[in-house]
Amino acid sequence: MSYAYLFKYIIIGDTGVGKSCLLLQFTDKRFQPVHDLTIGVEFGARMISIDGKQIKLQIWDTAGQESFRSITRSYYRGAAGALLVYDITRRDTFNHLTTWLEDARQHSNSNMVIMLIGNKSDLEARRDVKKEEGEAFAREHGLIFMETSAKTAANVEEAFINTAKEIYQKIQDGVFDINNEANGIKIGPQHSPTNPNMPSGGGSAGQSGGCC
Amino acid sequence: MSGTDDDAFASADEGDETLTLKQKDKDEGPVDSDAVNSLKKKGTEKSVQQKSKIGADTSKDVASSTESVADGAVKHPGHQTKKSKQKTKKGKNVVKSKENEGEVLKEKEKVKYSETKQIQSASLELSTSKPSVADDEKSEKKLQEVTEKVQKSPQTAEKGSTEMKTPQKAVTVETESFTKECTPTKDSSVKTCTAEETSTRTELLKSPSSQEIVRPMQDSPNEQDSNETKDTGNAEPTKSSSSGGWGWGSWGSSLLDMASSSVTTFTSQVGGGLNAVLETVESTLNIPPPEQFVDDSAEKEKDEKNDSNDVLTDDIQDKSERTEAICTEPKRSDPESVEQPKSTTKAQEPHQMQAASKTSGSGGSWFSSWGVSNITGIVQNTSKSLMTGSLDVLEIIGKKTFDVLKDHDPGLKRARGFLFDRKDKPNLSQILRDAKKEAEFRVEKEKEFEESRKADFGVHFDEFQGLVHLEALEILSQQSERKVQSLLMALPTDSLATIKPTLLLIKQTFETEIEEEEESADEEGSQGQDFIRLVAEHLAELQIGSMPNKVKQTWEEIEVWLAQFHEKKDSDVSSKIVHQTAIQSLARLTSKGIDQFHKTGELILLHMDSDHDYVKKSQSLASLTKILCKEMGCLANKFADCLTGTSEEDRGNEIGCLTTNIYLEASNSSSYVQDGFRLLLPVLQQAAIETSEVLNR
Repeated sequence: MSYAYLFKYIIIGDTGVGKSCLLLQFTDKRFQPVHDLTIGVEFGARMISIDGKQIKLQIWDTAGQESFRSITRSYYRGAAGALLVYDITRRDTFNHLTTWLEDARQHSNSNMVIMLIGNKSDLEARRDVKKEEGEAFAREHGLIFMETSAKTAANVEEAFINTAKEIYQKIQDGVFDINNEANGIKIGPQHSPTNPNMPSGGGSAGQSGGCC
Repeated sequence: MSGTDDDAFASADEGDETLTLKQKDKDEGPVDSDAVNSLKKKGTEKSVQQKSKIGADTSKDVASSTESVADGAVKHPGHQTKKSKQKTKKGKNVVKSKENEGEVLKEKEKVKYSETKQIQSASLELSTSKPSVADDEKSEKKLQEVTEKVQKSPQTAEKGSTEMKTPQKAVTVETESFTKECTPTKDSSVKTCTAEETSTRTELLKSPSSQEIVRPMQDSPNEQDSNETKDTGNAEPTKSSSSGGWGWGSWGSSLLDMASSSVTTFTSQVGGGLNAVLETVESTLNIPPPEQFVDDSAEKEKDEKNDSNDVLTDDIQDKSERTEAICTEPKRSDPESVEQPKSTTKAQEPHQMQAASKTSGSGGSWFSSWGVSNITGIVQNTSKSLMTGSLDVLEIIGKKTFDVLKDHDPGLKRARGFLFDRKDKPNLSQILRDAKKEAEFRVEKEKEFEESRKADFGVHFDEFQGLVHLEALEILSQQSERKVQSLLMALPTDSLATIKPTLLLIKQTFETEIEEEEESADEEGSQGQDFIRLVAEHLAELQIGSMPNKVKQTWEEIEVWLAQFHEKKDSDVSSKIVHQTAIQSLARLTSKGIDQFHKTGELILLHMDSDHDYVKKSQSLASLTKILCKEMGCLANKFADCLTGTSEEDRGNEIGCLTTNIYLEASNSSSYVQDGFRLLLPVLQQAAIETSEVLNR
């Protein structure tokens, strides 16, 4: 389908936190309890609508394994948004966030919108990282924060769409140069007329992440 | 005379009425009104007394003159009233004298000349600024004398003709007045309006005022000029005076009625249009003002002496108007000083008018003596020429405008559209119908676009993530390239020498492979059954762990579809769908091929150790590429066969096009696969160097 913009996303985080499951839930709306280890990078794409504009999200789902780090780093380049995912049941994934964030900031453009996601929120009983900790980290590093569940699909849509909204807002504010593809934004093959029937979704949820 | 007396009396009554009306309308100062009333009384008394006599008319005239005086004297009522009284008295006297006097006027002609000259000078003075009261009085006297003289002469002889001609002239006079009214400086436009609407008398009386107001600038110089030339200059005052002299008495009222009716109709019909047109015409085309016409024609027609009295009267009226205009000029410039002159001149004018209308007698002789007839003729001609000329101008203007319009607007379509655009506007239903058509057309286009998208290789290649994988593969390749460069720079020369043959070998493998591919693609036929096995073999040769066979699933699905197609051979699967499926299949397989290469590259980099022979791996990859490309050709052949199976129903030409398209996209697919393969070269080189480097150490 035709789209106005194409946003490149990357999903990063420790292996096994549920990155590929989040992607599958977002693109196929299904959950796969057993998932193959991602080799290098996998791709997903979905069309969303923001402010009546069709936007194609092209998501690069990177391998979380440490051995792929050197390869996957090169894929950060030119991403407009990043989902930095940790597992709320595993504190080590939360502890590695700083490394991931540094990596992401280093290998992508500084305007990249980063959404911090505490995944597996359905496993409340096994929670190891409090929500407040995630919020505090996000606030500290200027990220948007959300707890999601790829299994129950809770907040999965919102996580992707709110990131897109933030990017879109940055485009409107002129922060992103649309014509520079290094920013991870491509203009669609045809600037199709906006579809006025499409509601723009959850209003100003883009700012609800609680960052500064 | 006696027969006309009744008419004159009636007209006199009318005049009184009109006068009273005027007074009411004009809201004159109290003193003025008093004066007027007194004058009126006098006039009425006189009229009562002299019912049988023509003098009744004169009383009216006097009254009107007083009116005009009063109009002029609004600012200095005292002077004016006095003067007007004087005038009225004089007028009465004059009338009486006229009545009684015989026709001894010829002798007095000379005197008149001098008088007229004096009058002219007086008028000039008026126009300039401040004539003394004494001068005014003198001029008044002179005028009166003149009028007496005029009255004496041509009365009887001219009566008959005047009746005939007066209406025309009255009309001309009025047209003049109209033209004057047209000029923008209308102080008292109300007066003119009322003048038009009311009877000719009132018109005649009022029209002067309107003239005065309207066109003082043009009138004054002309008249001054006319004054310079004795004859013409004399003519005006003399005429005015003469009109007073051999007035309307006997036939005046009927004449006036006729004139009034004709004039009113004429004015009503032409007036509105003429006003604007004449205004512009005069201003733009440098048409000489009516006075000038009169003067010119007067010079020409001096010789004609025997004209009708009617003409005279008309002329007189015209000229009286002009004189009034002269008077008005000073009015505006210096009201105070002008008052007196105005009053005098106005008094004269009405005098003349009324005298002319009432006492038809004496003045004519004087006129005839020095060329009243000329003047009348002149006036006639000028009025005619004025009318015809103005009409011509109108016609010309109309023609020109039409031409201009037509030049830029052939058929006047646009003008019509502009004037009657409401009719041409499309109604709502039409708009809606058009919108519906447009929407349908758009939907159709979108459908077509979707159809074309379905058969578009690029779209499907993107949809199956082939494009992104290619992009990622490019990123990987670039990264490896940079790494290779940095490694080679860092390497010592001896180790570089040991590694160089390996790198060259790998490079050769990648380069030679392409040529072989091109040959083999054509030679070998459909070895579809071997494809999966061959792919699996080559992937195994790469020795990169658990390498998912992404191509396998896609290829199997394609085979299933083809098998199904051949099973239900007779079923109605259109060539279009076959074509779309073919393109989709090729795009999908290509995407998976690229995906496979991408993964291979990543895994090669991931599983680097010294055990691996990267030359061999590159050869495996090359053969894999060869197989993939070959398979593209095979699939193209298969789909082409499918198309020819359906071709019996469809047109052969179309099938040919679709078949060609499939083969084209197949070659496109193989080129993509080869691109993907070539992107792996730096990856293998990097791996080779890094592993060899490790060996070295």
